Amino acid sequence: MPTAAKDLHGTLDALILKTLSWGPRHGYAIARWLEDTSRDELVIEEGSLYPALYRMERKGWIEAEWGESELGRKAKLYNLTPAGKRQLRAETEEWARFAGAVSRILLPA
Amino acid sequence: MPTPGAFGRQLRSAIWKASVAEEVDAELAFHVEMRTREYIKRGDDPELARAKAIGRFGDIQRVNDTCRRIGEGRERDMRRAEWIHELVQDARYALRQLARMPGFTAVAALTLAIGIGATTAIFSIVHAVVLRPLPFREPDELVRVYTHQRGADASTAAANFIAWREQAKSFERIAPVEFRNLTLISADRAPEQVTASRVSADYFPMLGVRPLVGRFFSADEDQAGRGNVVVLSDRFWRERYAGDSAVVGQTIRLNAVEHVIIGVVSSAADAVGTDAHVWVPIAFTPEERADSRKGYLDVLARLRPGVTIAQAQQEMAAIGKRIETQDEDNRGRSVRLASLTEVYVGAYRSRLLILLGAVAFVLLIACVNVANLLLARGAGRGKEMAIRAALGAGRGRVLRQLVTESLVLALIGGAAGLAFAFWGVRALLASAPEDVPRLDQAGLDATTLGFALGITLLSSIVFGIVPALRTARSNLQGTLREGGRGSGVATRDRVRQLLVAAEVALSLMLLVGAGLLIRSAILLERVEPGFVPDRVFTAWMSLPETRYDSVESVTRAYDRIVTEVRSEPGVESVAGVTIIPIIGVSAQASFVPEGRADDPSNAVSFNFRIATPGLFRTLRIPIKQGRDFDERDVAGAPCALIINETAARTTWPNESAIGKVIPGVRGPTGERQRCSVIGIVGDAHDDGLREPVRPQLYFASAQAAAVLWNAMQRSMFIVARTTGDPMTMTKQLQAAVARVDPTLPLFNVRSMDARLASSLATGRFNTMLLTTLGVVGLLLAAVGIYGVVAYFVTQRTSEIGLRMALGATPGRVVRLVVGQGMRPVVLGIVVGAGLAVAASRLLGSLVFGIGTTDPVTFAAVPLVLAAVAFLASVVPARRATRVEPTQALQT
Repeated sequence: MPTAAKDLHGTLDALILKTLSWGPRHGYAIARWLEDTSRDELVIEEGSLYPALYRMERKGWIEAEWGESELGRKAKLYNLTPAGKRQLRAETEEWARFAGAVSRILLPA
Repeated sequence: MPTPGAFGRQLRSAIWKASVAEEVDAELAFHVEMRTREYIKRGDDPELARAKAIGRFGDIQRVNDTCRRIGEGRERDMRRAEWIHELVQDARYALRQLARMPGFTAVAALTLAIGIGATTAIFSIVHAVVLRPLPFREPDELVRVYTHQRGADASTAAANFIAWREQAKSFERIAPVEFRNLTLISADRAPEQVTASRVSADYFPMLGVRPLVGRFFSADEDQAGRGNVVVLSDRFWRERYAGDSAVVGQTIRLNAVEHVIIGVVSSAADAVGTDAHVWVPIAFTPEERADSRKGYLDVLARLRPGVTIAQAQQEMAAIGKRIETQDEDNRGRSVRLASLTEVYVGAYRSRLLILLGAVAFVLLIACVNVANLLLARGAGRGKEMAIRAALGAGRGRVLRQLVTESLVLALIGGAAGLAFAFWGVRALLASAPEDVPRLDQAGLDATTLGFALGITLLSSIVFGIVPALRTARSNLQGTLREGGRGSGVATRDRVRQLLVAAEVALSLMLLVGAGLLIRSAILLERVEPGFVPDRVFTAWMSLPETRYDSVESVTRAYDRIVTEVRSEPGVESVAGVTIIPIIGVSAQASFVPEGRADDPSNAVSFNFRIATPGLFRTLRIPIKQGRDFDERDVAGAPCALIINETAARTTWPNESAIGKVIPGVRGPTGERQRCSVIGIVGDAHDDGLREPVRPQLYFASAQAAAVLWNAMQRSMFIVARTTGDPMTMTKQLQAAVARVDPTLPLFNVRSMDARLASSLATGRFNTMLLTTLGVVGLLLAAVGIYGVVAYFVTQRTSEIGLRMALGATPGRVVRLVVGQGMRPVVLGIVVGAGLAVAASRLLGSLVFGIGTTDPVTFAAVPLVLAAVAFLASVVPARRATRVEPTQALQT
């Protein structure tokens, strides 16, 4: 059963930041990339995705500009800022620690 | 003019950028569309695909709203960040600008520092004395309750106080205070006089103060015979017991009775200004409770919550009326209430607010000066402004830059002003009269600092706004084309001239105020006090009732004291008197002279004194007719009176008062006696030199009534004229008194010179302050006039050169320039004189011997001002004549 990415605190932010680390993307592209990469194990809910994008923009982790999409349409493209890169590093480490701890409990060697 | 294309782009970007809502709509619509395509590609039909795409959002409107809210929050953050960034930028730029013109900056900041510093210093005093609430719980509920008789507030008799306490419903509590001098006997010290306040058990709870140590009086201790407990003032406690909390339970001997110390109270509890060392329960005796005649209590009360002073006054008036009709002794008495705050600081409020107003004028003059400086500088900055405009700064942006410069300038001036204020407050406290309540608490506290910041910001607006508007406007008028010389020189000149007129008017008002007070002070110096104060020693003493219980014993003690003091080397003459002149204290008694119907309306109210022989010789009060008291005027001999000239003139006009009789005066043992006037002496001022002298009456000490002696607490001032400096005699004279009774201390020792000087101190202080402010205002105005004329000269250099090339003499040029400079001065003088007529009325009671429209002042001040203004414009005008015609024409 697919997991909603918002259920784990802060995880959605980290996933979005990771997605943007490959280059500027619009919101739909972010959702698709996450779904494809997780082989549809993760469902990205639009109702969480966009508020998260706006929140991170306000925090200065990502910045947006209007550009051309693949289909030649105007789309709002998000890009990682230096602050966002730092945040991504921090969240990745945090996640590794958290996942390690959970694994040690659930999957003892 | 922008092209239509560019204009369209600007318009679109403005709208596009402004609306977060549209951005969110577009972004979400794009997402829905992409998702729909995805579903169609997977095989859904378009309508279903779209429905599923939208469905994935859940409540799409809510998502939209959330995003918009966050987006708008971000826009606000950015605007704020940008604003702060620009402010920092502007401030840096302003500092650079100010640093580039150190001369201008120094003059402007110093001018502001003088204005802000003086205003802050005066404010800190006004705040400490007048504005700050009294240090009691809900001080607005506290009132003084006076017995009112013969048009004056008086003290209250114990029986009346008790009736008030029983009957009044308006008060939460009502409590009496009586000031007393007690003799304190300690094992290790000479006997000394301490001031004591007798209060009821209700007194401290009424004020809402708490003991620093121990406790206050219980209701049980406020009973006759049980009141041998004492509360120390914190000052006395620190001086005598080094602030040791273990004093509670120790005993001290007051008037030969052991008292147990039960607590310590802050000196803030001293609500009637008696400056008490110790507090004892009032514990009325049955005789006191029954006495409705002799008034000696100061009564305070706390209004019940919700009761107004007017309501309480109404109730007390009714109670007073009832008592008056029931009791013979209360005839002619009524009750008056006054707010305690009003009683405490009311006398100082108007005086200090006048000073605050005067100092605000100085600040205004300073602001006007700085505005003038900025205007002159703004004219030179036309080019800079035009360049900034050309580089894309809008008018608002330029305006903001200029306002920031004013603000930075004001803050520099304000900071320097605080340093001035710090020294100013110290200087004021050092030279202030000694009896102003709470003055010692003035200083740079949080409120004062807030006030200083406030006036700093306010003055940056006052002096900065007009120059900023003018300078910013100039950039829209194509200054670059004019070679940066700036346009609108004529209008700017007019503004500057109006500013000069304004500061002349302001300083004229200040100087008129100062002039009126100086004239009053000069006239006051000419008032004869009625006695010769130099080389006169004075000290107060009081005989304890326990050992001096008859008029005879009191009289004998003072006779011996006077004799002992007279025998001391260095003493020319000596006498005792119950109240000395000039100290503002008086005791009144009313008598009906013989020949008039015995009715209260025929009574004459005298300031009475009890004196030993030799008083008039000692104080050099001239005996105009008749004789002084001597050894004939003893108990049992015909009763003798001495009156002053005012009493003689007003009581027996057009005839000699010598031999006139006042019947029915109580004698030493209470018997009625006929007293006749045996001497008429000169008028000596009682209440300071400003107040007219009242009728005065002297009793011979051996013939005065016991009630009078008791009312004066069997006290006398010992007055001695000495051959040398009287203040070096204290020990010697104390020893002379000790030969009569070693337990009697001398109290309140001062020379008569010092007493006269302190009676004039308040007036001198006001005069000195207002004069200082007037001179500062005058100097600032002179600087302003100089600046305007000098500016006029630089603006018209070529014109002046041309005139001189065409044959104008230097004299004509000077006249032209000075005429230009004096025009606003004359306008300012005319307007200022008009305003001063109205404003000087506020000085009313401070002015002595002249009206508030004193023609001498109103003639002299404009002349002085015009002369200073003339000098201030002649200096730059003479410089104009040194312009080389050729050089002037080249520029």
